[in-house]
Amino acid sequence: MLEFLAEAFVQNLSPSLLLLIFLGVLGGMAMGAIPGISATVGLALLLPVTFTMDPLNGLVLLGAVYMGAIYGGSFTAILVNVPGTPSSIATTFDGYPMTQQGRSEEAVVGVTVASAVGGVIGVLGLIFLAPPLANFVLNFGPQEYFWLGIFGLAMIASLAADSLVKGLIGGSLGLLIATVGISPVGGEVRFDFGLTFLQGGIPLIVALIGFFTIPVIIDLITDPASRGGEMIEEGAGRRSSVLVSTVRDVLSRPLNLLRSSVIGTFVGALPGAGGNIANLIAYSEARRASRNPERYGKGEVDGVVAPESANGAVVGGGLIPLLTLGIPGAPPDAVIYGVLLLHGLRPGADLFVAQGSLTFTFMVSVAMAAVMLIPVGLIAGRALQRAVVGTPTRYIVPGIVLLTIIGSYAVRNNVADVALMFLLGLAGYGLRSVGIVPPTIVLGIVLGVIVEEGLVQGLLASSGLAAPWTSFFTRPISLVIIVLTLVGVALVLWADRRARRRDGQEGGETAE
Amino acid sequence: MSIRQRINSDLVSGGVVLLAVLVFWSQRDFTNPLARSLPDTILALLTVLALVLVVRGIVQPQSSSPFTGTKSLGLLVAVALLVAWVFLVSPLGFLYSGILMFFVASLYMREWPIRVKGLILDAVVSVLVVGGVYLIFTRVLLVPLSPSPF
Repeated sequence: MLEFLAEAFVQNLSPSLLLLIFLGVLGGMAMGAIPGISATVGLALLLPVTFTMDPLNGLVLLGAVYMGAIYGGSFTAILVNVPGTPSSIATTFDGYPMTQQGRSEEAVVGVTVASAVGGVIGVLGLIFLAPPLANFVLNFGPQEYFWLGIFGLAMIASLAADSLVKGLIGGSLGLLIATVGISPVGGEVRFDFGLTFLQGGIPLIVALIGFFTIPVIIDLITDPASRGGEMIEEGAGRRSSVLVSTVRDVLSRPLNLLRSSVIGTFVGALPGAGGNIANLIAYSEARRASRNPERYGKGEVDGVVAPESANGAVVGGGLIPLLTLGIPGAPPDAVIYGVLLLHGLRPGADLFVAQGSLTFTFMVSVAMAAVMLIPVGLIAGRALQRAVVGTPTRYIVPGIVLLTIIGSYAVRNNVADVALMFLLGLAGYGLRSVGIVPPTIVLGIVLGVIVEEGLVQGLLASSGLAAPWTSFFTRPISLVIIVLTLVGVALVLWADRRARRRDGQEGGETAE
Repeated sequence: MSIRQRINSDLVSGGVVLLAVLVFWSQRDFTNPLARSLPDTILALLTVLALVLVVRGIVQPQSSSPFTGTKSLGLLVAVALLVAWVFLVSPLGFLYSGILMFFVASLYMREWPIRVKGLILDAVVSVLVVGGVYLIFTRVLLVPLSPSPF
């Protein structure tokens, strides 16, 4: 293996591969920054280009585009509160508040470093842990996926701003929205309200664009000054110091980077659970482990570092089951699987032996793409950030509306989805005003699919038992996830109570 | 004029959620027990949570003013602009509805009185931005956008 690794490093330093990685990262970043053009869509658009390439170049290009697209999704999440891809949902929680405070450059630098570190750790996991991790992941049945979804939903305890009841209502509404359309078992159409286009369900992209952007757009139109002076006039004189201090700041908290990257690698290795779940779990865990959980949601750097290092690691993690078992970890991996098959390459042990040179060169190229994020992100990414920050609000707002319309229309080429996006956004605006915050609803929508599929498949698989539901409480891995969920919720609630008590005491002392 | 209306947010949110449960319950015509398992559980959970809010809103009423500082006219205009934009996409196509509504929105958000120079600048920016985005998507990325009938 070490011989293959050494050869792979040398190959990756060749100018042609470096150029390919650079172009892939740049193109992927641009595509990821456009809401509606997910990493999967970006890779699928590029698939025909790889037909004429040799297998190595094709794989390297797609790997770089994948890494760039996942990273690019964070830009719009930070700058205009629109996650470019579902992998950046949690990045909006602290990224957009940072922009509102005039700290968007700090956020962009933070996610760049986090994505690069996460990407490299994910590939290290791929290189050194692929076989044992792939075997462990095979022990995950529907019950474990169900509990993994519930584990993600436990994040509501962190997201619910003031009221846990309202947080639970938001998550439940999201789960209800996720059940719209054809059921996973039985093929029955649910909650379509007689509208044909709802039979296919409510696409995640449409829902998340609506819930996240429409309230912000309404805020900006009703009160353009809410995009405050600080947000627009970031101190030009402190730009170089922001870069150095943010890099130092992010790297000074290696535990958050490491924990989030490990979460990303592991969740990425779970077939069907990609960056959209990893970023939420990593955010939740970062908040839970933080000494200052009350700062989350208000512009905490760790709040953007955690989701971005996790979704960067998902790229390498997702390749673990793909290259070892032929099971795509996430939808973009399925496109890479297509390229492998197109060139007659079969995943499995043989790929690491007979095609060892190609396989290791591809794996190392993904790590190179992660490293390439730093120069590309710090130059092109910061240029984009400055352009957005310097643009007057009267052009930014219609520009965001334009992107939301494209993003929601492009999913199914249906104007009805644009209207649906707007209606959901309007509902999100109204619910937000009574304390039910949109992120809890989106969390329910994201995890609804995995929860329902796990539930019904688990019940079906255990239909031979007298009480099929007991199978959800008897499997060892399920029990571990249940305990982790309960401990996690208890810790968040305890930390919140402690913070409120401390605030109350400080308030009392001030009053005295 | 700013909206200063104070509301009992627990009571209002509980009521809204109960209404949503009722609407979804009226659409619950599927029969497969497995297809029903999750939706039924969620609807039951939502009902309980909404009732908790309603009871809390009655027993411990707390009023809040969520729209403080929001101008009622501004809110109406924002919603009207978005509704018009969404509904013009189909008859006018992405390009023409985009140029028209981009122009109207940027004009509305300008400081009044508007000068002719500003008017021309907004028109040029609208054409360039929407036209540029349209070309990138349809010609470079090959993503089809709502076609124009003209």
